[in-house]
Amino acid sequence: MSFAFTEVNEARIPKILAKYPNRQSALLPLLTLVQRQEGHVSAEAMAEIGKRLELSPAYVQSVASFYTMYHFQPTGKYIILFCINISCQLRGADNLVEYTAGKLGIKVGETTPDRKYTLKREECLAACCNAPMMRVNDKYYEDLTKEKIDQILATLP
Amino acid sequence: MVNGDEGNPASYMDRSVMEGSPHQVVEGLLIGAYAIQATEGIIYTRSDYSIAVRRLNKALQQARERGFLGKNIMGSDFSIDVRVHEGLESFINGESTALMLSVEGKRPMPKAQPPHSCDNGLWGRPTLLNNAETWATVPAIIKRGAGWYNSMGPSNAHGCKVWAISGNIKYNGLMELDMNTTFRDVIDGMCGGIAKKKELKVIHAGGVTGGFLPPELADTKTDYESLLNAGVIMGQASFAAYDNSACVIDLAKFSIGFNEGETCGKCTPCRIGLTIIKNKLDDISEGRGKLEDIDKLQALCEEINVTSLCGLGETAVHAVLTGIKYFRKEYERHIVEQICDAAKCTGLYRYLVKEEECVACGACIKPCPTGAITGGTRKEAAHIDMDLCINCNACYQACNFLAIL
Repeated sequence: MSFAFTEVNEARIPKILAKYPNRQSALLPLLTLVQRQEGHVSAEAMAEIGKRLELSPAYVQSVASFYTMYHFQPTGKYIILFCINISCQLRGADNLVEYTAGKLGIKVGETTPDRKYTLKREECLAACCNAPMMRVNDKYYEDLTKEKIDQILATLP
Repeated sequence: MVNGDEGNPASYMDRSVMEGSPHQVVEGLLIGAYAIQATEGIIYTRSDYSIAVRRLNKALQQARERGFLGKNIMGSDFSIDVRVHEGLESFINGESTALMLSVEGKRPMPKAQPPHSCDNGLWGRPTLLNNAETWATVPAIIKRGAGWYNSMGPSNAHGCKVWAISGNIKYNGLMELDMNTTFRDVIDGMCGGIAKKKELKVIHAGGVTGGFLPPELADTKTDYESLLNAGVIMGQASFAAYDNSACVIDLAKFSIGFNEGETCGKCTPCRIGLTIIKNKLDDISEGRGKLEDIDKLQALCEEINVTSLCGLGETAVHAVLTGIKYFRKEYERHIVEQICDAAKCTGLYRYLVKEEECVACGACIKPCPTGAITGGTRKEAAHIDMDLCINCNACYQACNFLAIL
């Protein structure tokens, strides 16, 4: 599998690099850019970033692997992250994760065969006031119930 | 530099201030930068705080257009530009040296201090770093004067602090509290108290870096010194009030488990020590604990507290230390009698009905998927047939009177 930045993202790179006095500092922003483009960060993408920033692919991977929020396996169109931290847990997040997993017919951490949904648990997503909550790609859905999850999944195109 | 990285469970004051009042953060940063004549400002935030990122960038753009940002600000010879750095969430990133390493594009593993970041910080230059919330208080202090700010709070800790409050209470959310406020004021007053028929059992102050306080200490004030004296820290300034359905060992397992997962693995006490503590707590909650484990845990925690490189290891052990200090009886009951009164430790479940507590309401009968419960109506206490029971916990969750062990 090869990797290339899209034209739009290619145009963003010089702007990102210009923000920092050295190239290495652009590492996290570029990894995030790749993940937004591809849905996950592949080994090829990390090698490409390494080339741009004059870092070895191993170094890029060592930094990227520190974060749980980068996905290294191909993901579905919608990445559903359930907060399972304390406030959400107290308000029944565990049951909701299991419910969603059952509804999608996959285990937590897996992607549906049609590559539409990926389901994951995540630590605090900072919306404790409206627990339990989940994040679908970049959007927060709060005060969840089983009925609400049904509705949200039904409206995702 | 603004620290807007939040990875602490149950705290979201930075997100709220960056989303709700980004100009306040930017203004605070500019005042700070002017004070130390800095030429570069960086606001670090999580890339998944998409609303915060958008609004901060807009606030910076507006400041640039009005000439509050850029070259020769308001005709003076002071120039600064500020950028938003979109990082990623990781608990340890909130530590100052780790945060700077993250901006430099390196693995965020904390460095030993000194040198402190004010001498040798980002890219080897002196760096002034404060939390987003701290910066947001600066404009008001400059405008109204230090006397106004000092008039709030007790004599040893001025001002107020935003707390994130959650747990088994009626209302939760963010509250800005004068440091004179006590936990009881908040729980019973502003938060509407604990649910009916249950009572306050434990106050979990300081989140995963903090510890547990018994109800007797509910009159503790929420300033730094009072909290330290009680054995906990303010930490991320969040607290949760739990009723008697919470188990101190279960809560400690959560805190330690979180910290064990988020440790960067650089220093030994934290990397290995937290794993040992977690295993010991698992033993206790699954019925394999020994009485001497309590003292061993305590000794180990004290050691980790003094030998860890950064705040993560130092503070992670508060959960166990304060648990043993104030709730030793509960630890002993788990080990000796093998009973978890809150029925949170699944390894100790027995599914026995406490007949004297059972009010025969019948609530447990319907949820039971195997029909193992008989009685439970017309003044007759419920009985669970252990041959049919599949340990699904449905009856426990249905019971409103904590009558099932």
